[in-house]
Amino acid sequence: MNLKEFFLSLAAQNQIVEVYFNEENRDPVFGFKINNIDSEVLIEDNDNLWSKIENVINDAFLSSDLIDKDEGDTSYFIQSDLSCIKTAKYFSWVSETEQFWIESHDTEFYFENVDFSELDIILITKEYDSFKIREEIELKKCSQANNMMRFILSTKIY
Amino acid sequence: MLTSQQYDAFYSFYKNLLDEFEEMEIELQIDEHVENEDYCFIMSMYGSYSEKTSFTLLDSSEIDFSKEELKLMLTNYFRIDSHLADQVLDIKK
Repeated sequence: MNLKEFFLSLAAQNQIVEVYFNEENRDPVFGFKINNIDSEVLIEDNDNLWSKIENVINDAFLSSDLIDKDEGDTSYFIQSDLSCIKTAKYFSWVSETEQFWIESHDTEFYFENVDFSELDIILITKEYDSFKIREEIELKKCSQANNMMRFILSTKIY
Repeated sequence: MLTSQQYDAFYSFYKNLLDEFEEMEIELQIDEHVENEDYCFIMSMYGSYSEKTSFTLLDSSEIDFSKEELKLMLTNYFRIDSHLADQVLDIKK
C-alpha cells in the first residue's frame, strides 16, 4: 500500500490526518500526524520505518514544487470527503523570505519631537476581517515636546 | 499627541500594506534616529493562510509499505484499535 492510499483511507474512516513540512527549528522536518499524534513517536523504537516515511514525504514536497514559493511551515489536512485543506506560513525561516519581503517593502515612519520612550515595539495584527494596532492607545497618547511635529512616511515598494 | 489624521495615516498605511495577507502579525521596532526624532520600521512578520485544495502531494510516490507494518504502526503508536486498522488497510479476516 502506498502512502497516499494509506492516508486517504485513514481520513475516509474519520481519522484526523495531517501531512506536514515544518522548519520551526530551522531544520526542515517532514512528517505526519494521525489524530494529532506526531510521527516522531516512531523515532525511538521504529526509526527505520520513520525514516522511510519521512523520505517519501520529503521527496513528495520537493518534487511537487509545493514549497517552491519559499513558504514556511506547510500542512495538508485530509478531510473525510478526501478533499484537503492546506495551511502555510507566508515566509520561510530557512530561505529568509521574510527578510526579503521586508527589504523589498522598506518602510519607515519618522516622528519628530514625539516621546516614544515607553514603547519599544508596536504590534499589528491582521486577521480575516479585522486589523488592530495593539499600542493604539499608547500611540495616541504620545506627547510631543513642543508644537512642532514632523510625521513622515518613507517607503520604497518595488 | 499624534493628531487623528497622523494616526489615521499610520493606520491606513499598514492596513493597506497587509491587505495581501490572510492572517499576519508584524512587529514594528521603534528606534531613535537622531535627537528628538524616532522612527519605526518592520522588524518581523508572522502570518499564514489556508486554502481548500486537492491532496496531490504524494501522487508520484510508488513505494509500497506492507499492510502488516502499517497495522503495527497504527495500533502500537497511534492508538488505533485492531478492527479499525483492518478497515483502514482493507485487511480481510
